[in-house]
Amino acid sequence: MTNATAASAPIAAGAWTSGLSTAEFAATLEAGLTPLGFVQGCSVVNWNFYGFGLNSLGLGGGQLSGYSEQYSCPHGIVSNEHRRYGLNYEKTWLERAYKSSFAAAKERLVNEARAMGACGVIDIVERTEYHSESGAFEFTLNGTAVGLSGVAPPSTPFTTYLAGQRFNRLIEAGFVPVEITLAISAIGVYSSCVTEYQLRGAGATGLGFGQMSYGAIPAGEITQITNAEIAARSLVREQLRPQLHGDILHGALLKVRSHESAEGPQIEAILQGTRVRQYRDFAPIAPPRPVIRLVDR
Amino acid sequence: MNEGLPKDLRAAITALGATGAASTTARSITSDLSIDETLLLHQMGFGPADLVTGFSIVAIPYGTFLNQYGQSEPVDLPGATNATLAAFTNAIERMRDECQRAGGIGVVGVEVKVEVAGSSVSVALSGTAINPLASGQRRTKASPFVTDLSVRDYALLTRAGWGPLELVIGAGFVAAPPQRLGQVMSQARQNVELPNITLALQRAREQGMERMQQGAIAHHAAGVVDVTIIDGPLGHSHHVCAFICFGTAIELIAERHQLIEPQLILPLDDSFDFEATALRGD
Amino acid sequence: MAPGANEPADDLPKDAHHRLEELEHGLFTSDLSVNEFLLVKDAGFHPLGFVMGSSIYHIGLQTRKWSQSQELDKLTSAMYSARELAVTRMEEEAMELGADGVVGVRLDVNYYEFGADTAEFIAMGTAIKAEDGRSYRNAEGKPFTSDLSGQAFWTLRRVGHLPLGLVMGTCVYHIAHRGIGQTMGSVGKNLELPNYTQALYDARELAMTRMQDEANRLGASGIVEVKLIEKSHMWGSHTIEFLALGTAVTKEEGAPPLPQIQSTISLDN
Repeated sequence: MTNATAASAPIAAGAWTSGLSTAEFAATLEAGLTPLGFVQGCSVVNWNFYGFGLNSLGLGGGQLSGYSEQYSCPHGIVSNEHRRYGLNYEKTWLERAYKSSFAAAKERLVNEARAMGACGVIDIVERTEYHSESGAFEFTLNGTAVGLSGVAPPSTPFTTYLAGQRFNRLIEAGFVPVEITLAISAIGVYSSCVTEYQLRGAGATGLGFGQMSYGAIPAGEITQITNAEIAARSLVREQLRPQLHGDILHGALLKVRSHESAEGPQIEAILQGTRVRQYRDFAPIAPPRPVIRLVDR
Repeated sequence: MNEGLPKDLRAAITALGATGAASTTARSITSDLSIDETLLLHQMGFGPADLVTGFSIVAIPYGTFLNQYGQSEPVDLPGATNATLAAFTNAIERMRDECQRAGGIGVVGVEVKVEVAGSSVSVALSGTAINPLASGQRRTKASPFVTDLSVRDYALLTRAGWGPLELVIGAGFVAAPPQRLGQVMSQARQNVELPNITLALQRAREQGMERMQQGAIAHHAAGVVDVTIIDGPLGHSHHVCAFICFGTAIELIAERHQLIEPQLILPLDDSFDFEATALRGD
Repeated sequence: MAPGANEPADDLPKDAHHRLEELEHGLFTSDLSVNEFLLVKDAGFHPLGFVMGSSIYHIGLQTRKWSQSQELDKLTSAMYSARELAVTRMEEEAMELGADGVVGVRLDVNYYEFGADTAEFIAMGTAIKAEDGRSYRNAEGKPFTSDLSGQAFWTLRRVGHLPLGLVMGTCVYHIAHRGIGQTMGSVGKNLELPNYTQALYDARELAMTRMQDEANRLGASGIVEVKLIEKSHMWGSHTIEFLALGTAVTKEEGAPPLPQIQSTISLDN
């Protein structure tokens, strides 16, 4: 029970706080880790500043960087009501703001942990909040700093969303967490005339243009939106990959949402998880035994 | 208590401090699997290859969901049915392409999101492609499989001698005819079955299941397991009965089914909730 | 019981016959999870297909007396017949497949915006057939139905029992409103409200008795997984349906000895 005695010393001093559940706490002690304290990092960025309108972008991609795709009008109609083009464009300025906000919050969290002499931060919980009246976007990370006796803490303490048995299983399996990692992609969609019509139903003709008809709107896939959604998903993974440096993103969580922004529909994809490194070979497990629990549900 | 764990952890932390970055030879892999799933997969001789996705949004023909006035029979809405099937097929094909590019033999644990809007239907998929650990291991099938079964289910299925073939899809959209006013009035004080609506719902269900079965037959499947059903009237068009189902088509790989012979266990945890009662003795 | 129970009746939807024909050629579909599928196989059965039945019912009004607790027999019979219809249609599909039973039956009531007082009663489950060639149909010659999960079905078989059928009893009850004088008199006091107590007691008793009568008719030795569901549906808070639902079971001849059970304590949350 050497681990338990080692762990009990700072506990007796009564100098730690943590958001761990009892089960997670027990598992943390089992791994020889000592909770040192509750740490946090926070960053607020001004979101509105980045939200300038499409008109200021200069069409044709002059000021656009990153992914963009243009859809021209097949109808050849010159009218103020008829869109001459459509555009999918990556909102790199939003991506930068979000990424720097996450990085700043993480750095502050890690600095707090380093000051405590921690070897890492476990059980990280994040909170994002958008204060619409002030246009401020807030990113907060909370976690429990942990120490380990008998080894020098790494120059940068590790960070992970995992805790408890999940963390222990990861170590047993031969992986060590390096850091929490996040990537984001944001695609703006300025619908072309064809996309607009398709969104109102395929096969409709001359919608919103009096008696004029432009021929049947192509049935089937809405190409512009599909491409924007696919681009959001592949860009976010492309952006994350170089951050891994050959490691593995464990417990990846991909969230995609689309919503109306001031400039029209916007698709955001966020990919995050714990970057883990294999520190020794996989120890194969025995084939598990199927069981039936005599408990309802 | 596990004496080895703190020792392992010390070794891990030391390794972390020793090198700033991982070996440059290793491939960066993204995986949404849990550690238990990763270990289970490893035990089967596989590992995660990459996170893969698929997406498609398809337009539903204009006016599909408008009220079918003057009808007295349920009306099939093939426009909506076909759009749903097309969105699924496109999304699955894109996911399979991504899996192939990542060198995977299949995608497991696929998360499926379907949305039927007023004039379009979208399908979004994400999951983890897997590949054999030993590079010499031959791919058994020309094209990778896609399944929403978890790694645990995949492992159990494999152990019993079965293998996933494909995510098979079914859909049926049927409009129920509007009730006549006189009918409504005369029913007010009666308990009666409403045959038209019953028929519309049943038709949507049967069509959907039938489509899914055809998909399974086309893949020479022995059966379909773990079918997920989304059904009921559409939120935006109450008179339309929608039915969407998807499940994993499976085939018997071993010569015959292997019994798994589970062990009965009684967990001594809290939160017991006994509802089973024998009302009469033997 | 429907006459000629061994032949599929004709109120199945037209499309159903074609779908079921395909299933007769060996393909099976099921909403069983992989676990349940493997356990059904372990219990000596093979899934045949996903079967369902439904009925959309208009539940009429029934006059209730404000101050009297009473059973609303018209509503009771509507709720019962609608479920019975759904289950019977599901059984018909199962019979067309030549099934011995249906497991994992879900009995749901959905309220759609088709119109006021309209509800859909739906029954769905997976039809299964024994692999040993024996018939496991119940005393009525019908496939057994059961809301047991694959896990529960396997466990039941391991302890030497067979399900006979889904049994249910229902009772729609109106619970009297209390008079103003009564309400005033009990302000600030904690006391039992005998009319409520008696009404609830009676209604539950009626539902349970009806369920047990069904089990008796099947020659059951017991009922497992009884659920007592109380719902006001769309009638307002004083009218309540009491639904008792369970699976009637019987002990099998020559059952294997009871299995060893291992106790465990799990470390995960």
